[in-house]
Amino acid sequence: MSISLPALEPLLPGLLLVGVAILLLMYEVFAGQADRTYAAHLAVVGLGLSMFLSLKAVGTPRALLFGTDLANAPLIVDDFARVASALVAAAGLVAALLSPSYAKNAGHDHGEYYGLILFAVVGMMIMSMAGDLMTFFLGLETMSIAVYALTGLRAHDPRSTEAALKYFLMGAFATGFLLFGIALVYGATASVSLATLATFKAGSPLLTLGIALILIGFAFKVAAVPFHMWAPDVYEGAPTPVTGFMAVGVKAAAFIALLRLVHSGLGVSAQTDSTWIPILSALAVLTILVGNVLALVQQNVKRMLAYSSVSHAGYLLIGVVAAARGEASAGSAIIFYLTSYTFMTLGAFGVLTFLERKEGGPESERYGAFAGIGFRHPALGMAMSLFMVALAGMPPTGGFFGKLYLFTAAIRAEETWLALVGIAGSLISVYYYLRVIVAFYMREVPEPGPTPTATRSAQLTLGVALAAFFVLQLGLFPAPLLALTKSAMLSLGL
Amino acid sequence: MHSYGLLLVLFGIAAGIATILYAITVTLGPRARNPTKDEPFECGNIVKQVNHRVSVKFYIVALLFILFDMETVFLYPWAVIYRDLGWTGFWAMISFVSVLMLGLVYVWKKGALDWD
Repeated sequence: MSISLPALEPLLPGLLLVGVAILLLMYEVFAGQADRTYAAHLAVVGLGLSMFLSLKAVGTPRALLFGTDLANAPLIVDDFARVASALVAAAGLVAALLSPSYAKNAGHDHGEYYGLILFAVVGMMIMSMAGDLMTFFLGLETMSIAVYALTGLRAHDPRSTEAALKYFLMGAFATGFLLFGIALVYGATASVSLATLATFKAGSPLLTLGIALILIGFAFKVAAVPFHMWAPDVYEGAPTPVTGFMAVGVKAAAFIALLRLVHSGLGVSAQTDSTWIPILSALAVLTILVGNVLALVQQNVKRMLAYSSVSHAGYLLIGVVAAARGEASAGSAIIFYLTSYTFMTLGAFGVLTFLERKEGGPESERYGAFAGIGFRHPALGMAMSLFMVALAGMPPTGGFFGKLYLFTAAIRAEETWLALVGIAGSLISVYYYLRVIVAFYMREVPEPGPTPTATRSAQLTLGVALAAFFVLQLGLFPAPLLALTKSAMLSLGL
Repeated sequence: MHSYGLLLVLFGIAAGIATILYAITVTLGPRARNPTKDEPFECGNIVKQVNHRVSVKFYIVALLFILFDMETVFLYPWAVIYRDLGWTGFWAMISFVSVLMLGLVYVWKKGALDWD
């Protein structure tokens, strides 16, 4: 096993981010300035460049790192990993744009903040490239530890500390389940490589138990019911841009890794054994129903978005079921959905960041606090309406095509009833998404009117505008991204 | 599955011993209660209000020690097969240790090693 430097080139998008993150940390201690907007700019440039490098390499042959064939390469850089890396880098980029003014306002303007975002993105990239379960685990931990720290940054706010503690404890439990599952799978098959696992026929109870435990670990990370309890408190307490980043980045990385697992590893045994499909279907149905119903009754918009993100995990799980059934279009539907979900959710949290007030507190996040904002800040109102319509899955937005592709894949995989549950869930969700628009436009403006936008900044505007642009772009011209997701799935051998 | 059964027996014995020991102390141990025994133990001091915070300086140093100590664990297996790994192994370890060193520089400059 000899590695020359040029052989590391496929890892460049990730290595670049590690370099920028270390640079940020060093700059912070040696030449730190009070205003860390420069750090945000550096992070954005790094993430943009990394995204560009990932996308540029799409179409080139698969690269296996630190191994000679699929069975022993811990890192697989194929189109699937490249598209996924670009997606998580985009999520980090928008999150970094949303952050500078918020961080200053909330008193956690540290250069390390952007370093942590970069490290988290690198972890997500490794998850998408993982060729065996241990590498996947390392990526997951790299991501998680950075996100735990980000969650607790508003140290003076008990809600933030509560969120960090809850997220950390829950995450640690989930990690325990996952690792134990990996151990059992190794015990049953004597391998952790996904390619080797694919050749195993299920049947050993040890393997089934291992898969189930790994699934529980995943369910925790994507906040699928019944492992969702932490989500609302954590989403509410974390700094708003971080909440957006968590909601999209962590979820995207987990689903991407699950997709690779289903396609190139355990999924093969899933088809013969079909232990996965009942478990995944039950998770999906529960997640959609519970997530949507609980989102209905929330009074706090951040908590509502938390439950909404739970329900979106449910829709995505439908796609995973279809993928486990061997439906080829399910994978590209999941990536498409994740991309549009990334932009609409980050956009929504961007608008919330705009409206965050100096004193903060749960009161400023209630529906009532947004009364009349639509007239006071027309552009902001338009953007929020767009994101809400997209989250509800209505045209002409990316959310519509995401749901369309996902449910079509489910019907093709002969899981029509799951698609119906998904559609029912989407119908419920229209109510609470429209409620935000109603608050923005149709509520009496209290006297004196709300005085938000303490956090207004050029970066924040750019972030929200980018998100809005892509939500519309994906809704009007979905073909380019669809082609990209198809080539990603092709590289998995479909 | 036979070997796992033995493991279960081990767990059973461990739980059994704990249960038996606990049962013995509960049933055989003498219990003479008096009011003084029910009071909180204060080691001879008068109970007083402590309402200032005490800074625990040691924890961060201890934490950092564990962190860097864990990283050195990787050096041992590397040193054993150093010759077989060749230059690849050398440069891999150089890059690993450099990142580690930058971490130390960060911690140092951040003031985490200052006692006061």
